[in-house]
Formats: sequence, structure tokens, C-alpha cells
Amino acid sequence: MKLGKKERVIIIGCGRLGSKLAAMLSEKNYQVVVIDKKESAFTKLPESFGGFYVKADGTDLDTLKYVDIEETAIFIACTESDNMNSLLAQIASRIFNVPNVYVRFEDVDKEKLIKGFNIQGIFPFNLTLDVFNEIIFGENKENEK
Amino acid sequence: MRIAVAGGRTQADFLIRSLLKKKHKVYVINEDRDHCEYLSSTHEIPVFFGDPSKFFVLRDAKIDNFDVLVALTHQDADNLAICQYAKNCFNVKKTICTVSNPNNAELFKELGVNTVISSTHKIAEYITQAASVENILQGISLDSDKVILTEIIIEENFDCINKTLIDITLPKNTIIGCIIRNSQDMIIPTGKTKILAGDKLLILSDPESAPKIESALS
Repeated sequence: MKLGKKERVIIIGCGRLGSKLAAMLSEKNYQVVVIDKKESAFTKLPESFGGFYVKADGTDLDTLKYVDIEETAIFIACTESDNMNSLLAQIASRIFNVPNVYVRFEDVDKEKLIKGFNIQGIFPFNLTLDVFNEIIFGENKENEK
Repeated sequence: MRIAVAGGRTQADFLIRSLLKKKHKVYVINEDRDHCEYLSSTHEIPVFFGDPSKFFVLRDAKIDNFDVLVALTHQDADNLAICQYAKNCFNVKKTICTVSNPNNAELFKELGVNTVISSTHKIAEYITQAASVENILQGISLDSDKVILTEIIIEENFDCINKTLIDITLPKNTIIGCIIRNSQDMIIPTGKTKILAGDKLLILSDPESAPKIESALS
């Protein structure tokens, strides 16, 4: 797949988060490929989206090679299943050595599955707690440090 | 051995039965409440109700330092998560899982699962063999496809009949491990053993030599 010279991003899961990230990164001039099992998921992408979308199973190694995962700078796993995201992130980081791998986990315990690997977990639960903390107690994590 | 069986329905039930027969200590973790009730009423074993791909469920089931964990859920990614928790957080010695996508077998091994079984792959293997060689050859792969066990029934017109094993040239890395005669006598052959019509030969070889065995004998 010829994608041009811009920095490449692969996003697996075109849900609310995946589609927004795809649009945002595409606007910031990244070459974005978003993958989802369901064709209907891509309707969430805005009309202005300038990247590629591929209907496929994101855990399929051939699909990932087809979208040039070996040349990819950023990989984001944000399907609706934590276990699927853990598998995807490990494929990207441990099999294909993608330098920047991000994964969204609903369950904070899933961090234990990616410990020690070059994978960055993002936990909406922790972020929500932080915001509540800030609203209720006026404490900001950044200020504490 | 202490063995945890996570997920699965009929497979789990069957596996638990055969493990108990061999006097293993079996613990079950299953997220289907009805199935949990069925299992605990059928077998005298501890049954934990919960999603085994959740950390706290495995923690509460106390699987620390178990000898083996088997993950049998329908989702391949769930099985991987269960096996990785077992290995990394609870020091389980050996992890085994099934996968529905045969391509995940190699991948999961690379990601740290000790043994990965793909039933689709096994079934496809059996069907291909059954279809291509008309009951003469049956190959079973052992130890992750490194060794092939081939079964050959010696027909009347085979060249090797009445020859001793010394006089038969087999492909390299091939050994006749056992001869079944008259469907009952088991013979461990030596170089002087003669092959007779109707014998069933059990032959071990590497995967490259397996397809050449039949032509070497017939």
C-alpha cells in the first residue's frame, strides 16, 4: 500500500474514540489508516477525513503488513474489547516493533498485561477520577508535582 | 498436579472429567452461571463464577503457583489475556489455550503462551489427509509439527513384503517404530524383522520425509 511520505498512524477500531482520533490526526497532517471489522463503523468519519479506511480484522498479520505496519510511527488500539486491545498492542509493539503504541483500557487491571513492554496505556477511568478530583477538591495532578 | 480450567462449555466438561480420572486437582473458572452450577453439581471440585479474563477473578480463585492453566473461551484475545495474567501475575508454570483463528497459534506462542491448540487447523489437517491418501496413510503430527507419526497398512502388492528391515531403504530421518500384526500382536522391530502383507506399520519421521514413506515401501 503506497501511503506517501507523511508520518503514518494506524488506528484499530473506528468507534467514537477511533473515528475522532483519525479525523484529528489526519487534520494534523498525519497519514492515517483506520481499520474496523464493520463497514458501517466508517460512517462516523467526517467527510473531510483525508486518510484511508480498511474493513478487516485488525489482528490479522497480513492485513497489518498490507497497511505497512513496519513503516508506521504510531499505532493506536481502541476497539471495544480490552483483551482485543491488549492483543493488538502487543502485536504492534512486540512483533512489529512499532515505536509508539497506545492502547485504551476500560479495566485498569489490564495494565498488568502490557507491563514491561513499550506500550502506553490510556485509562478513561483514571482520567475521570482525576477530573472529579479536580472539580471537587480543586486539586490538579499537574500542580501537585 | 493443580490445574485451572478457564471458560469453555462441552470442552471444559470433557476435559475436567478426564483430568479428574487421572487424579489431578482441578479448579474451574467460568463466566456462565448456569454452566458453573452444572459443573459443581456434576463434579466434586471448586467452581468460581466470573470472567476469567479479569484480574480480580483470577486473584480470588487463588490460582497462584498452579502447575497448569487451560483457557477455553471462544474469544482468542480473551484466552491470551487469561494466559498472560496466569503467567505474569500468578506464576502459573504452564499455560495452554485453544484458538479459533488458526493464524493465532504461532502468534500466541510468540507472545508467551506455552501451548496453543487450533482445532480448525487440526481438523483441516485430518480432512486433507483423509481425502488425499485413501486410508493408506494417516499422519499425526507430534510436538508442534516437528515429528510426524504415519500409519501404513501393507497391501498385497507392496514391494517390501517378505523383506527384512535391513533390506528396505527408507527416506532419511525415518524409523519404523512398531508393527501391528493380525490387528493384535505388537512387534517392536529389529533389522531382522520381516514385513508381511496386512501388517500395520507405525512410522516416525520428520515432516519432509513423511510424504516419501509410502513410495519407499510400495
